[in-house]
Amino acid sequence: MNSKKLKISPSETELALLRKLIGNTFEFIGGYSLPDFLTSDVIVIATDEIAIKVSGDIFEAEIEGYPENYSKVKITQLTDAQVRILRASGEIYPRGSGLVVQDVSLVIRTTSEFKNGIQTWSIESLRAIVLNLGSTNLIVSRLGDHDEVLAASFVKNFSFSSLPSVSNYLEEDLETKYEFTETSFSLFENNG
Amino acid sequence: MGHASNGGYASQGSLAANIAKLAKSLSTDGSGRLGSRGKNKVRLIVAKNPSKAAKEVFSALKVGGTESKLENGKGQKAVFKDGSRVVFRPVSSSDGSPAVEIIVTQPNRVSYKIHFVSRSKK
Repeated sequence: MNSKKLKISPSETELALLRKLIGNTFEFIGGYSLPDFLTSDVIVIATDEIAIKVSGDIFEAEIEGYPENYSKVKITQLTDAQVRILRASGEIYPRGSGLVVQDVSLVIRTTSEFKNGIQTWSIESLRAIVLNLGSTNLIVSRLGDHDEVLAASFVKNFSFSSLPSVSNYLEEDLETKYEFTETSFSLFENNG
Repeated sequence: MGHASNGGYASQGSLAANIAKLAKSLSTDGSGRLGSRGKNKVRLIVAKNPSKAAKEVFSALKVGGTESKLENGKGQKAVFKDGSRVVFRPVSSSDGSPAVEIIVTQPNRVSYKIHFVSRSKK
């Protein structure tokens, strides 16, 4: 039996947008319905040069043998007018403002299913975006494998254990086991 | 503090506490999950008017959370400070029935979705 593999990678346009953040001065994170615990389906990262919108979304696939929703992260650029509207009517959190974005790293998560030791499927997708701001790191991460919700947090030293847990509907039994692996890469070091 | 049916404690205003309250009037399994077991990891709630029932369940579960529409237009969400969340989808992509997704992070991690179906579709 062939193992099904699904890979949802950021597009070149999305990677280019993230690379543009490097060297800019961080201003704030914000959103249109973003409570102070920084959890929502849209999180804006604003710098002095550009602002990007990180959005959680879902799409349907039949990798597990039936239709299921899977999470993905989209990255788009906000126009100056959209940033002005956000400043005027959205929620803005300026923690870390004035720090320079030294690097942007992506965390890729792979979930694999094994039945009786044989891999049946795997899904690889972007789990988190990490902005190295020097004295702190801003993490914007997916919270689930099947819904749109994202969370932002600040940590002094980034490691995979800094990431919030990801929810899913998977349940192991005697035959079925799941494996979760994470890798990260720097956009500064991999400059397209 | 409220008591969660699965042995942990659910603080008031939390999604776990809202579920425990709702479980008094809806069917649950042994671990306190709402609805009955369906196929493909989905739980089911059978109702005369599935759409109305789904909205009512979402309304009961969102109490104490921050509610907003999803940007992609696929429903509404309510998020809680502990990362728990409930998502209401008027039309689920798999079979078109209304659905509520429940993700609880505390006191125990539980994730499942409920499809609301009419008796004839069960």
